[in-house]
Amino acid sequence: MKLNELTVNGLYRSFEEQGYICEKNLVITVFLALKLGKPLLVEGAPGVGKTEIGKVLSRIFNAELIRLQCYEGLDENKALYEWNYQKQLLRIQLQKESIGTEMAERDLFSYEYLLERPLLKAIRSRKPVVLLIDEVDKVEEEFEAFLFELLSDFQVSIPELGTIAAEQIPVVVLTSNREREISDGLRRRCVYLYIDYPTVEKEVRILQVKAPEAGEKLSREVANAVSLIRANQGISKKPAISESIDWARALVALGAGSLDQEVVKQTLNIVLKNKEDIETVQREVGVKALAASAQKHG
Amino acid sequence: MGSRRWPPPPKNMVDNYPALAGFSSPPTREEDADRFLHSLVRFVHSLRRLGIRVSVAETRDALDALSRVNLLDRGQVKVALSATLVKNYHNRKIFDQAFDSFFAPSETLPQKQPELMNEQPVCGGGRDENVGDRLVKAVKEDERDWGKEFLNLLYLTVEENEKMSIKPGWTKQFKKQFIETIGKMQGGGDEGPSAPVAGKTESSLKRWRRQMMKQAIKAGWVSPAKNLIAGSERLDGVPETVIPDVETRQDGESVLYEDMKKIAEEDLARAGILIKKLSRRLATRISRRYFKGRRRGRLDIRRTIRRNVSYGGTLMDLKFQSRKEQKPRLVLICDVSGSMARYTVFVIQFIYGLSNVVRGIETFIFSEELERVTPYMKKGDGFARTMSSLVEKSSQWGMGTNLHASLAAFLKDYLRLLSPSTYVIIVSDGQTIQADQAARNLEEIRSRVRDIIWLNTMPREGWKRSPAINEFQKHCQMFECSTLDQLNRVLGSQMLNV
Repeated sequence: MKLNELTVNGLYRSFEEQGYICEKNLVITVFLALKLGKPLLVEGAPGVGKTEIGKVLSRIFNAELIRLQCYEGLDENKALYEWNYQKQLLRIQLQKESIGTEMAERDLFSYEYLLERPLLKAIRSRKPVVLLIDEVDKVEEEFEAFLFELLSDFQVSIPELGTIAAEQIPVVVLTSNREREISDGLRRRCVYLYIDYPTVEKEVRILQVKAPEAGEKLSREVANAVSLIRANQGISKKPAISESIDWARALVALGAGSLDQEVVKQTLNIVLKNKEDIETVQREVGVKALAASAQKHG
Repeated sequence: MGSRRWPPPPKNMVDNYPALAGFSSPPTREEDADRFLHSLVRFVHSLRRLGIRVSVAETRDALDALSRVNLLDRGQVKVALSATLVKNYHNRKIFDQAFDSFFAPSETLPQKQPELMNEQPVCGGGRDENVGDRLVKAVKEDERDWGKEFLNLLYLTVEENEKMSIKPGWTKQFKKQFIETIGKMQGGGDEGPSAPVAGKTESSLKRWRRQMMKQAIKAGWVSPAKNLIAGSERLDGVPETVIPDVETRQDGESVLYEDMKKIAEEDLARAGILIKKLSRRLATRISRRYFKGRRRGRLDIRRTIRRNVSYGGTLMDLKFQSRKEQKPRLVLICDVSGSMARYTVFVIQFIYGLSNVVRGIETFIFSEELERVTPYMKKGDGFARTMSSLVEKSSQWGMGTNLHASLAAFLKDYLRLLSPSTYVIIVSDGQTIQADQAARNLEEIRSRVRDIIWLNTMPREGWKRSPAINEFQKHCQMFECSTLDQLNRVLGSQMLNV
């Protein structure tokens, strides 16, 4: 798909074709970010499909996905560029032995010796790219400040080379788990999207796409059970969509046709990944009630 | 008029903009555009009045976004505005309400039409009652209900607090004795002639407190179970056991392992010194990050090469990476309510110690309300004077506990203090009314800061029985801190290693 031919309905269809089942509102927001040429800031609980948006967009536009995984301590050297100092050193050593060839400092600081990190790579790319800046809430304030300057002007300055402007404006998707609030400056420069956990109906549709072997009945039972588990406030890590999919696949692998009490007991660890949460669900919801609720609605 | 206007009207304006409330049968395109723009600006103003920060650039983005969606589709208009104007999850609900008040749904338009027809856009020099005012009116109406609800809550709070504090109106007497106790602590190792007097004061304070508790139980203000200061039978014990057995102590360090509220008066000074040491240790742990490390760390190859290019690539001058300069900010929030009374002498010693060494620390105390006490710490007075004036002027000492109200006030008035480099340290036993709301406040603070460290004076075994503590623990690192040794270990742990 081409960016200038983009329509809301077309984008919605493309998302579905790529197996990304979502509300139309989500697609409208993505559409606006693309049309306005602004970065898309996606927030939401872990496992609701934030990162997937970047991946889906790269497939839709047939663009390269450049991913910058953020973490505490990430700095410009790892995100933007670094000089290839080994190569520079070799060049200097070679220079010593070959008499007569002059070497200027600018030769040493040319593109030949530049190691592109994700941000610079996205800016210098001549082909369309999708830049996915994942878990931006993990970086320090200073890096965030650097980032929003880059994202508003789409250009960077490298002291030895000067300012490099983007060949074309990349599609930028930033994700955040809201572990920490990100700065207002960065927010202002983005189009904002919040993704919540899916409704039962939506999750059934997702399961039918991602784990079609489970069939509608089992998918619905899994979606009901997961929805009930997520509603429990005592759980420290609520099941992500990927865990629902894993659960449905696990049930198929076990040959279970339905989520009965025994099956729930055996497989609860697929959907809940720590002991305390499993105990909380067993204590507060109860395996029996969970199975009954899943099947009742199913 | 129209040609002067900037930015240009959305391209999709002509046919479809009546979807936005307040507009019907546009006479000309230019006037349409003006009304459209004014409507958007008024909506942005309304959002700002509701506390949502919207910049001019964002308003431009919103206008741009509106030009890209179908204006006849209310859903699309709403998504376009929310995606460009509201960039925070917390503000979503406010936005939804504002949008619904401001832009009437298309199905209700026919009923609202006559009213809307009378309205003139602001630029037309028209009437007072416009769409924006309607929103304000709607909000005001809402507020009346909220206000009533709030008053009811407040009433409940007062009642409960009266029950929770040992006796209403006890603070004056308490304050006086408190100041005397502080006077004793600041002497440090030198007990001096005032020591016996202060000791007497302290024990009379205890006696008086015991009396008050008995009275409170008798009068039915508090049940014996509620009366437990630290929430545990074991720690509170019977009043008689509050005076520790001095003879059994073998060395000076035993004070370390004593529950702080049981430390005998003769040990107060020693405990005071110890706390000073501890707070200094915490302070250096923090302030160390204010300076670049002098020790050599990892080799900085990038800078080394650049430096040595002039030597023909021979590495003559090595450059090292030093620790990244980081300035964590500290916000200290201390519970000085009735249930924390006995710990408070240590808490304030701790606050004072910290504030003296670490610059830029923000200090708050709370019981029923929050009070910023940072200015007291900055005067440069001695410990006794600082604390005396603090205790004298503040009305918070020894009251009931409302963490929710305090944190809500903190979020409202001091939001600017919170950043990803901020550590919030809370000293409290977690015994509060409205714990659920307090937990939500805590969650919001947590999302804005590096970490929340909770020093809990309630012993760990009591935590499981307290649902409030369980809630709080989800949003902070909680450490048991009822003895000086525990305080020491908490501060010695890796909790503040960045």
